[in-house]
Amino acid sequence: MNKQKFLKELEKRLAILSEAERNDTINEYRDIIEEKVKHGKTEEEAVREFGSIDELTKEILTAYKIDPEYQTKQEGKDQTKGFVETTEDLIKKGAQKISEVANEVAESVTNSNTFTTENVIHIVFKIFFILLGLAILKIPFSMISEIGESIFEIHFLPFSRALQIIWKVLIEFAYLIICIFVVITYVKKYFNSQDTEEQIYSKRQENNLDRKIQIKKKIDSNKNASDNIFITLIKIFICAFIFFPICCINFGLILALAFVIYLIYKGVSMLGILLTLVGILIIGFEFCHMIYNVLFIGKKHHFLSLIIGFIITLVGLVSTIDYVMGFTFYNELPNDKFTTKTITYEEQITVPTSIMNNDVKVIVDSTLEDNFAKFEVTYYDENNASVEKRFYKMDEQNDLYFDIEHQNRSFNWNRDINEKLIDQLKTKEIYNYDLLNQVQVKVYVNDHTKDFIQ
Amino acid sequence: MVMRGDSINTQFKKGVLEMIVLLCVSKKDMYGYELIEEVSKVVDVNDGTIYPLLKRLTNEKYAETYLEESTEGPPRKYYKITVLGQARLEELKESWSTFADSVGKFIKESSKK
Repeated sequence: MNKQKFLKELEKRLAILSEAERNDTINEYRDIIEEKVKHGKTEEEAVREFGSIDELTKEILTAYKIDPEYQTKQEGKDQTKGFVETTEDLIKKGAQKISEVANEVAESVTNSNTFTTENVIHIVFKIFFILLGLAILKIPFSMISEIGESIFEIHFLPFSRALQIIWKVLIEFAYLIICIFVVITYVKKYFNSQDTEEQIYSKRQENNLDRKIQIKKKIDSNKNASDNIFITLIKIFICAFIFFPICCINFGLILALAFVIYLIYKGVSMLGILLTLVGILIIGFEFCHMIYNVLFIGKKHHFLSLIIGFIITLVGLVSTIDYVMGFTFYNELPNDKFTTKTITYEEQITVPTSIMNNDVKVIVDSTLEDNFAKFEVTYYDENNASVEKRFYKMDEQNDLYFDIEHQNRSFNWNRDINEKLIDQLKTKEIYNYDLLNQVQVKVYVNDHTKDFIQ
Repeated sequence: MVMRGDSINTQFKKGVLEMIVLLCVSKKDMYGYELIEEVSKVVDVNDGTIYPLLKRLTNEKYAETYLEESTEGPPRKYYKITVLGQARLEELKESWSTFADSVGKFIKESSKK
């Protein structure tokens, strides 16, 4: 009998002991065997020296003051056990199993030794991937469910409703079972894929929380093929949803950086923004590099450049805030370049009228006649812009809208504006260029006509 | 001198095994394999029987265990004698020597005839 077989057999025979005691015993015997092997004996020899396993079990159980015959008696009883008891046992065992698995998960999470970035990323993406897989799995199930329901609706008319519900419940149940099965399989596989020695250690830890054990992380040589496929899929997933987007962001940042450098070349002092962009770029590239290392090389990454990136970003942000706070905002356009122009319209107002512009003032002027309104429309006359007056007539009501028309907006116009913007950035002034698209409307009416203006 | 195992001896050995194990641990703290090695210098005993004995000794508070990191492989469980164990050992030693003495004396007397 080799070590593994012997320990398994012993574990089986000591099933009557509490799990902690049993593991303790097994561990002790394992240690002894391992020591013997270290001193030149074979596993078989070491096991043989323990004498017959029957005798051994008896002695161990006696040491615990347990009647060694108890188990054989119990086995006889088991056979006569009723169905109900058996199912009860089954449920108990299931619950035990689940709590065991939960314990193991909790342990591996709390165990700081295995808490490397690599492992965390690995676990998180495994979980994410399982959830994703289950979500995708839901699609065929709901399709089957829908098809079944429509078939029932057409062909089994009197009972269709009941059959549909039964069908739906069945499908949902099947889906649920498959979900549970998949999750359990993967959880099991995850723990099995870890080195057996590590498992033993973690089991020991269960019993002796005070044990401080250095878990040597060994790469499992016999990882099975499906696990490899799984890892590949995770890698693809990370590439598609994290790596690629970050690369795109980096590209965008490079463009922004180029623009900022252009502005600095033009004489705008945007050092803070430049620093911020450089810092974020460093972080972005380092992050890409880190993911690449973890995914394809399995190397740990130095965080130094990330920290440098963060510091540069922080300094940049502070000076950017300082720079931005120095700006003055004017809710107008520079007077030297843009002049306002005012047009007046005179209108008969005989039906209720809404004026749809943003900036409307109604002024009462009793000298005016009834049903008569005078509109004063003010706008920035920029490259011969003009204002179009538009009536939208509806039943019993008018909508009036003054729309600005820029006749000569061209590439040149944009270039002019850009030049102005750059000049203003230098002098730390910001003007509200949106006003170019707005018109100011003043309506003069008498008291009677005022009621028509809404 | 190693007591060789035959069926009569088994009972003798069992009787003194507790004393021998306690003697071993009273010299210095030992782990499982070390104890087996040490004990088998004196009596040829099934390695398997040591552990149940140790279990009983710890249960009866004659010995206690602690873990210590080892340079090679996993941490080892060391056995250490307690004050209670010391007292028990004295008791065992005393009854052993009186027993051995009286048996020795009887053998001598019997062979004189």
